[in-house]
Amino acid sequence: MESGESGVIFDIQRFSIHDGPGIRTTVFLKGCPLGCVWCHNPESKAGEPEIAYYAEKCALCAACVGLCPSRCHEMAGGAHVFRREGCARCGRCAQGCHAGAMALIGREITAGEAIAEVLKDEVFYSHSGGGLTLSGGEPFFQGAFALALLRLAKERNLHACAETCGAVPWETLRRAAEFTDIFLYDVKETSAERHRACTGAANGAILSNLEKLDAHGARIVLRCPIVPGLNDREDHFAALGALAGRLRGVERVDIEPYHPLGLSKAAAIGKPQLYEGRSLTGKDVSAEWARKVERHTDKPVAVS
Amino acid sequence: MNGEGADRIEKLRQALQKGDEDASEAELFASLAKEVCEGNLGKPEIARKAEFLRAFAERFPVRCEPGELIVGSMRFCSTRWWHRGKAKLPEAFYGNMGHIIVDYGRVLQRGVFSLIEEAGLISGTDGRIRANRQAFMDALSAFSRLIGRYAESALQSSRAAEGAQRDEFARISHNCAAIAGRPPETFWQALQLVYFIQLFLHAEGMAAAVSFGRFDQFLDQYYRRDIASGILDSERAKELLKCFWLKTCEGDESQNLTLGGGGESELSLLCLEVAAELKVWQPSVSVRIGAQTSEAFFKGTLRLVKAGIGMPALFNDFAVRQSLIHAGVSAQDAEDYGIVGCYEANPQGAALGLTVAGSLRLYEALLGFLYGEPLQTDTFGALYEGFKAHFAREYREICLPGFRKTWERVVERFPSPFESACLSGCLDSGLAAEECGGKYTMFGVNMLGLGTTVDSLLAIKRLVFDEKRLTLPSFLDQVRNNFPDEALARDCRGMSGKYGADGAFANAIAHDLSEFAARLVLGHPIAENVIAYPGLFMFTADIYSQGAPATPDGRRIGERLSYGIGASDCCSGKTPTSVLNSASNVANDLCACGNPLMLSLGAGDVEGQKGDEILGGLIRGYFGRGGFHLQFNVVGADTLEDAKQNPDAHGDLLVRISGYSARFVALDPHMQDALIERARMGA
Repeated sequence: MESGESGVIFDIQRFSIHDGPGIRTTVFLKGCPLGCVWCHNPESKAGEPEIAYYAEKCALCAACVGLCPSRCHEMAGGAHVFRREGCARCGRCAQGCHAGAMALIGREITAGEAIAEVLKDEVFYSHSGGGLTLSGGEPFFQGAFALALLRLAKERNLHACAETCGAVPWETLRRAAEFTDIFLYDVKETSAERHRACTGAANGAILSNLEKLDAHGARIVLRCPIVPGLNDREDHFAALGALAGRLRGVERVDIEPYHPLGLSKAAAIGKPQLYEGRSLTGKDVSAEWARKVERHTDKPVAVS
Repeated sequence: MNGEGADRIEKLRQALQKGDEDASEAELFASLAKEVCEGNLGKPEIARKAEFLRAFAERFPVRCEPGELIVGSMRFCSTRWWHRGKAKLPEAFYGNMGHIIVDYGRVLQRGVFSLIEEAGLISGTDGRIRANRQAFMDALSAFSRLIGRYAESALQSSRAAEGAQRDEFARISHNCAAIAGRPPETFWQALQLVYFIQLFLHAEGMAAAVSFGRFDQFLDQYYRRDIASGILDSERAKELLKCFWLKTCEGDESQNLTLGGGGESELSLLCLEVAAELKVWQPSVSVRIGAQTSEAFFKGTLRLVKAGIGMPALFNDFAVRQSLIHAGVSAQDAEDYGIVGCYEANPQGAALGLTVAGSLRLYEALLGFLYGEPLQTDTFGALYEGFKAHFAREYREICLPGFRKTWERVVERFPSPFESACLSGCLDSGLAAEECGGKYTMFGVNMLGLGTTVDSLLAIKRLVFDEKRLTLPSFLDQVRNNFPDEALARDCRGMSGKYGADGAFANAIAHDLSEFAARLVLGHPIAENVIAYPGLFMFTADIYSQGAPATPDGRRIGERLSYGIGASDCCSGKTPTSVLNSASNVANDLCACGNPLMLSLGAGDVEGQKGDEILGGLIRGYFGRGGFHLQFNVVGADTLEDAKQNPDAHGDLLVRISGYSARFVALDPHMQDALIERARMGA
């Protein structure tokens, strides 16, 4: 592939079937400007690679102690102690860990290399209406890299979806719209004040980018994480419905019920989560949320 | 189906379950076999079998149960009972090897009396032909007699019954009387005759995988005629089919039934619906998918996939036809293929398939080479070529002589008069199917463990030749001793780029090795006019795996081997699409005896319109790349429970969690429990 533009990703997931139509491959880019308290992918937040430690997998073999140039690993009283201070994130411990307790999350890759991996499943995209999805993190946090991926995808006639939290410069989204078939656009909170409280940022730019994207003629699916106790409110459901109804380009609203999988991942990278709900949302509860949004819009509302 | 019809089916289903617990017919069959077969050991086998069939037809109890629309009991052959040893067949009863599709369409077309006439016209004066002629005629006459006894029995039942049941028994009696000699005139009669053929084949051979072939094709004319004349509607046809389906459940456990392959009709769709609604274990439905497959049939196929009973098996017309042509079947006969047993393709009605007659284990060939010979180890390429030469030599010197012995036993013990009379070619040649009397005589060679073997070669190349982490002798020492070095075992198991993870090297080896092995088999006929044809699977692979030694891919003693052309349990980083990509590198167009591939998908992932897109994409994508067979296991709570207990066996199991699919075995136990609970509650 001809693009030498490179970026940091933390996964390429083949047979990804919930991020856009058909069978897709999702490329997960690292880095996100928001700080959602319930983050489902906490390992995606930092822009650079980082080390995860899954204590329960550790075989206490002490291989990492000898491999670490910064002496971050130590066996003390029969236990493995990993100190993050001083860790240069070189990944040597992860490479030498046979038990899979240490892992390096994130790697640098060129857009061409990533698309070559994506193209391996081309035959399945063409028979299912699928293609490439960019996710993250916030894919446009690495704007130039994300645009290079989308441009290459379009050159190869791949259907392309881009997930975004919207907290990125309008100019990036405008350029992305050229190569993107469907935007999976997150709306996490419709109240400005609560948005700031839950994500650390205001939602003004996010909503205005959404309006601009819509005016630009983009196809949009609204993706709405619903977190018990935080945004499972009538006024939020009503506002989501109204927003979806008002924007011509919005084809569907996806309700994304909170799940607690982020907690263990957050613990593994040493960045505990603020929101600590431990249960899966029941199907009946999420269906009820969807119905509440449906009351305020004629667009379809789905639970994903 | 109306309330009355649904009630009938429910009662028959309950009766089936109750009947399963009753071994009396199996015991009776065994004692009849003992009496007849121990008394005629001096006669030619074909005459002995005809004599047994005559005794069976004359003396075995016949009975018509209230509510049945298709009559005839196969409870005598419930394999479950043999396993429990309650009704052991005498050694003097030889039976046959099953695994065949006789020409049902031809029997229906001509009727039993015409076949008897045809058999009588077999010319030839040598002893064998004369014995065969007599045996064919005797077996067919016995068949007619059995059907006649059912006509009598139904008539008696009718006289003893009242009201609607009285009329129904009378009609069944009429049906049986009509088809005892003449061709069927209605769809109902045709279905009844197909069932009687099945019953009699079981009585003759007491073997597995007696398969129906292209059921919708040979029954379609009867269906159309009755619909056109107004004596049948689709609801009634479905009811009849359901009665038929339930009756097949009394028989062996791999009675394959093939649907589709172009020209699908309303009947094809009804069959798919019946399978999806009944959710019973027999018959095993296979569907043929090709360029001419109608949209409606494809949709019906997906609905059956989603019913979650592991059916249907899907076959790629293009690859299957090519594989048969490569085995020496004419293009026209290859076009008319049906599936035998599980995954084996045969020209329907024209071949003695012997699809599970021969077997070999690829990983054992590799281990035998690595442990047994002085190794040429300059390069991986030299080592690999050495392995192939060793494999070819062992095949010729050890496997083939064994297969030839098996074939001799087939000729000696299994010539079957009824089966032969129902197969195209035997009434012309005057020879039994087991004497190459049919149009094609084929001998399947089942090869086990492709994925495990490819991964083993990959591990050797990477660790010994690329990374030079250890020498070949020290690596082999580890393998031989079941991997005492835990870290090495983990690295072998977790190695990237294995077969199924779409690694370029593994894919290339899978292609080369499978083609090499397939051509080796195809190039060595078992006997004159006995085609050897390969398949990359072994039916009882799970059992064989119990004792299988450790392999260089990190698999330890007794762990499961890769099945069919699927990925090994110890292949990390696989997804459904990467598995399909790897599998499309296999020599699918050379292996008519079956290259099965199973995929597990969560029930939530195949729901609705989106589920159709996913399934359709996987099927069309894989078949577009030349795949042979594909079957989906739609996973519910029980599988999740098993995956929690045995994570290694379910490494690739995906489950849906609020918006995305996660690898189930990678989740923490609390989450696993929550998901199992959710799947159980269906919420």
